[in-house]
Amino acid sequence: MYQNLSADEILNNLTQIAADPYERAKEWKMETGSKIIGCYIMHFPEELLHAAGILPIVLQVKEEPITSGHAYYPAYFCGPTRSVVDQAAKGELDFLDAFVGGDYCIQAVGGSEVVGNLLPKVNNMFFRLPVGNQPWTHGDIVQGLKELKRDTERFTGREISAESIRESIRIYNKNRSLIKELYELRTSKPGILSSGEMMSIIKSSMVMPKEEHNAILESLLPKLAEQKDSKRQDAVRVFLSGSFCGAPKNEILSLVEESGAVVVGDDLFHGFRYISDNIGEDDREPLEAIAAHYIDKNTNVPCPTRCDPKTDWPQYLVDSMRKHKADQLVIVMAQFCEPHMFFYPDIKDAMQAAGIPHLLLEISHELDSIETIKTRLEAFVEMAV
Amino acid sequence: MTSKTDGSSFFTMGVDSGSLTGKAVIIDGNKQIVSHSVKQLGFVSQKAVTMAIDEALDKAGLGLDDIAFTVSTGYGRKRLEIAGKNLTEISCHAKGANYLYPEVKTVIDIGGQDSKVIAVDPSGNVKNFAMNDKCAAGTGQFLEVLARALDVELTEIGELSMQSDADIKISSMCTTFAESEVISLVAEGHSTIDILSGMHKAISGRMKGLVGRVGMQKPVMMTGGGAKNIGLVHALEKSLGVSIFIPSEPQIVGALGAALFANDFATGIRKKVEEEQDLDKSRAPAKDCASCSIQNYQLNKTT
Repeated sequence: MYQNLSADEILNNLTQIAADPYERAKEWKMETGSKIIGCYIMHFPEELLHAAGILPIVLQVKEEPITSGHAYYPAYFCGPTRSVVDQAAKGELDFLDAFVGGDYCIQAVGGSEVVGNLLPKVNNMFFRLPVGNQPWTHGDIVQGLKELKRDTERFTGREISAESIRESIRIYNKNRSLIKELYELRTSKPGILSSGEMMSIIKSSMVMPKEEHNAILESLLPKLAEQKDSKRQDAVRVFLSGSFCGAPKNEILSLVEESGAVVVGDDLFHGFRYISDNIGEDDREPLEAIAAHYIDKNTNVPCPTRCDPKTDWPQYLVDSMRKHKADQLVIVMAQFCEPHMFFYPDIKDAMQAAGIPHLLLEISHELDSIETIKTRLEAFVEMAV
Repeated sequence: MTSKTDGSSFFTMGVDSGSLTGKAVIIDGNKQIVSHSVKQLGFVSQKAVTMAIDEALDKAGLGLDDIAFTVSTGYGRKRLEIAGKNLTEISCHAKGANYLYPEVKTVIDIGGQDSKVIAVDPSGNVKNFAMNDKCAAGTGQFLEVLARALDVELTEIGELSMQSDADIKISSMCTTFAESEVISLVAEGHSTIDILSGMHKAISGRMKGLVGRVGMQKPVMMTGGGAKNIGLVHALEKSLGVSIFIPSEPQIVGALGAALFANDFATGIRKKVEEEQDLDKSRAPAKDCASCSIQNYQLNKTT
């Protein structure tokens, strides 16, 4: 059905799906009678859950003010965690059949517990993802995956075969590869996709069947490839970094571009971080391949929650800036995001040592003065003109 | 007031549409200030901006048609239709401060709605900056609210606070909470001058943190309406351990910077700079540190 639509129409559809992120999944549930499992944002083996015949979706931050959630989670915790708790408290996640929490950050652990308690009719699971990169880490991750596989099988009442996991890996790899193609297209023509559109493409991928998303991207790619680049050649080239768990507010992405900049690369979770690495499709036992992926993808795009001593996120950013010929770095940090705050001093030092100007935008869930952010972004871009 | 000879036969204007006041500055082709005006009405008042423009034109004996180029800045910068270009107040304060005091390296701007610390290079470019990002605490609006709570005129609070030798601590920097705290201090019997002094110390403490984010380099200049408050200036000098230069009209520095940018655009200087940047970006992809665009960017910034 997407073959007959223009690139703009396809992008509008994906933007709408991303804007109301659970609606497509609810429709899918009505259409198929199958089950949906909500994943608590980062670092979940969606491929394994997909292989069980259920639809895994990544829970999304909503921009609406937190109300009911205040009763369960304090205001000094990060916006993404509080937003998911708030959605659960308001009954907005009651459409889920199962929920899987994680332990990649202390706020996520607590948030998972609270959401689990707020969704009593939902089957609650937990994915234990050991941190680090020691000789035993791979084996530990495999064990965590086996525990989740066991719990998922109990939930669905049927065994997950190795072949079905391999098939899911192929589908998910295809999705990552297609989005990477979009990134490559955008490298040569930065104007064909705004950063907001790019984010909507990735966000929609997280909340709808990957097979359907793949079909949409296969229609979109050739249409975009035909388009001419509309961006001014002298626009200031900006690399966007950070924003774990929650997608950066669309308004902020628009402001970056309205300030006269063009986004030439990112390591956002709702960006390159989500699709940076494919899972091996070799003869390995599939859970072994997924575990290796968790270590490899952190080498490709280091994540502060993974506590991997062999990776260097600040240096990765310096290298990425050079690779993308970026003039400036804009860091979007969710207020009270502990892993990000922990790394920021090192990033600041690395940028100063490399002579790269950077701007830190610490974004709170409710209290942002957009006008102030606008002035700071514009002044930052003016520095490079 | 105007001498229309040599470079003085053409004029540019800078307009600063601030959150509390409208400011306009007209300069001639020799970059000499011809006239200026400051008007205060409501929040981001278009009327105040129009009044400031009219007064500046009137003082200069000029009409709008005599202005070759106008640059707007401040909160309402996008709303001024006569402006050929708008730039942030951060760039404009740096430019204006550098014009008034070419050696200046750090500019502290306390305006109506926000405060900024700007590191300025010898050419008047912004090297780095920090800005209060959450609320109006420690700004002109904060002072207005507290002056009202203490029933004193805003223009008097500086001199009054200088009479105090008490050491009152106001811990809260949220405008609303600070107001409650001030009410408690009044109830406890503390004098108005001591409370005002405590308030200035509290603001200077907050500004010290903002200065620390940029890294203070002397000489330091203060701009914006806050610089007219002698009590705040003294508290800040004590807190930072430096002597702060205050221009005779600190509120017009942003509009002055905008007028100077307008001159750059009108004479083509600004465009020339952009062309140089374009040339820089068209170079071959970097293969090593010496040729990469980031290094070139830095070289450009320092020349």
